[in-house]
Amino acid sequence: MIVMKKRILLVDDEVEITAAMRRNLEATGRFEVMEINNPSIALANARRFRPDLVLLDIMMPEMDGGALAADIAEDIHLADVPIIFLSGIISKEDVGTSGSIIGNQTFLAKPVRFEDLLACINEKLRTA
Amino acid sequence: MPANTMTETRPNLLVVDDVTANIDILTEDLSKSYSVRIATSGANAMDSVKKYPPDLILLDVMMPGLDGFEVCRRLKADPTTQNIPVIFLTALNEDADEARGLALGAVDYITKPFNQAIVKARIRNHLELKKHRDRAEKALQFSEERYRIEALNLKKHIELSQLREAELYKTLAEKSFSGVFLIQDERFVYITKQAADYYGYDVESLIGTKPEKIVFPEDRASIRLLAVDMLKGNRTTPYEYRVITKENKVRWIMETISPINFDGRPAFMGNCIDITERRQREIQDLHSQKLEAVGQLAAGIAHEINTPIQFVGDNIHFMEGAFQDILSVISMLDLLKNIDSHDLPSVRGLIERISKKKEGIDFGYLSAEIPLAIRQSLDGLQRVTKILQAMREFSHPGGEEMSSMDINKAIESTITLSRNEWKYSADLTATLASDLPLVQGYPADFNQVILNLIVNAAQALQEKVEKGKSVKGRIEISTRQDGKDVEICIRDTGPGIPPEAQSRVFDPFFTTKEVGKGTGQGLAIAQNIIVHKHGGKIFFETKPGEGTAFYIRLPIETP
Repeated sequence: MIVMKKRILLVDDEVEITAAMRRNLEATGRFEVMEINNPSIALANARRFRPDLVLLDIMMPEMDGGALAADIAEDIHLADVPIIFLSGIISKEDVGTSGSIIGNQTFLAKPVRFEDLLACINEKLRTA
Repeated sequence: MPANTMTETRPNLLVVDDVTANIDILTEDLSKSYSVRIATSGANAMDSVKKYPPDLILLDVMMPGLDGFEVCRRLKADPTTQNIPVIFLTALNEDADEARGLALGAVDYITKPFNQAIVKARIRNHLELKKHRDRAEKALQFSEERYRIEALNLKKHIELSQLREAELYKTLAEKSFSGVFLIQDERFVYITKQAADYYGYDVESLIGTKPEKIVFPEDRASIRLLAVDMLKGNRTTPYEYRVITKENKVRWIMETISPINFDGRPAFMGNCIDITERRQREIQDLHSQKLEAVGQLAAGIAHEINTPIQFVGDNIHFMEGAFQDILSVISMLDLLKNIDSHDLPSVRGLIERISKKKEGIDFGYLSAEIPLAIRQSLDGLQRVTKILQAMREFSHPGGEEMSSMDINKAIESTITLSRNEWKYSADLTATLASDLPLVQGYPADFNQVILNLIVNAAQALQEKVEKGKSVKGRIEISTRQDGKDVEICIRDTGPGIPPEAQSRVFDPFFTTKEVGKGTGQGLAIAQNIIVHKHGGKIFFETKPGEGTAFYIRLPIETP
């Protein structure tokens, strides 16, 4: 049985972060991952890649995650793609380990354990 | 006697003639109006005049002995008699004589034989004239007296006001908020109580001593230079230094000095105030600003550490799984031990299974990713180590003592720690001269200055970023040696400092930033640290729309 892999778009200006997350996501065998480290080219790549879910860093140079999320929400083909925000400026005390919904958006605090991230991704994909 | 008192009010005439018959008729007539005395010779006349100065003299010219001219000459030569009008009586009728008599000071000439009416008229006229003259004289004398008294009063007044002025100046000096002192021949010759209080001594113990004695030893050399600069007119702002009080306490003094002449010789006049409290407050301000900066940095540093923690954790998680996979393959090798090596089909079958397993775990993928994951994790730990080192460098202990500073290292540490402040708005490059000499200074304070300037530059660029989306600016930091100075330049490509703000950027509490983005203390403190603590300079060049460059110059040899 061929299971269609879910496509996940990782957007973070730190190359090492997206690389490490990609390894873990790929190791599950369930995901196809695209890494983007320059947020200004993220939208164009997302249109091509058609992700099932976006993992998005909030604090990035040149364009912050919020602005990119707004662009995604306005795009015809991407508007329904769930987004999980990752941020180092919010804390676990603020959002808990399984993420927190703020204004209909899910937030995870960095550093996030992979198990927690995976649980959050599964939850998002299930409800999407 | 009523008659006498009567006569005394009448004008006195002295008639001088050696031949009384000549004038009998005349005198008889004159006696009706005047008190008339007679002298029959020049000598008699002189005596009479000396004893009772008459109001007018009728003087015969031709007399044996002292003749009229001589009598007249003598009378005019004597200040006590010179004002008595003299009328010559003469039988002569020669112009020359008349001229001679008038030249001697006589007022008139009457020739014999006399015309009674004319004589009387002339006598009356001259007496009248004399009366006026006397009155004028008296008035003059009186006014002279008045003048003299007034002059005396004025003199007294001046002396008094000079006294009062001296008193006033003394009071001004003694009661002034700033302490006043005079230095001559390198010693205090005058010092107010206020100045002595500021220095922490009593007046008596300072008079005659060398000012240097009370100066904090480390400040002696620099204060000398500063004072010389001020006397030359090169320096107009007061200088600040420390003194050691009688009780062995350190106090900060702010002082000006100017050359004057005192007692006819060159001297120096000084004004001083005690600024110890202000200095302590500045240190507290500096401290609280430092804490504020550390607080601000702490959030950024946490974020900077967060990133490697995230990916190192993820990589280890990945390698944990990968290791399990690899282990599952390797553990199968143990099965080979229990197999008969001659049983080739079994051996082949096992190898087949191992290969399958290896394929299942995508060994090619793992062998490419694992070394990367290890390398990146080690780099991540290196990043954390660097941040921790920079933190240690930044809050360098022993901030109270001067020590050798590696300017480049200090700048690198500050760049590392402040990365989160600038990385969103700027690309930062550092061009640091490799042969830069060490500089004596206060590392923690210096780092504070660099941090303030980097944060300012980053915030200036943020203004640009927020206006035109996604345009990152540049911050260029460079160091170089320039003669006896080390120069540090921090340049940004921000909007520049508005012209109206340029003269105020170093003023405490001056800020153009929004509320919450700055207290307006950063540059004031930077200036204090660079100028006052390091004897250096800080200045800037700015162009609206193009950017700003701040320059710091630190002397390699401290004064």
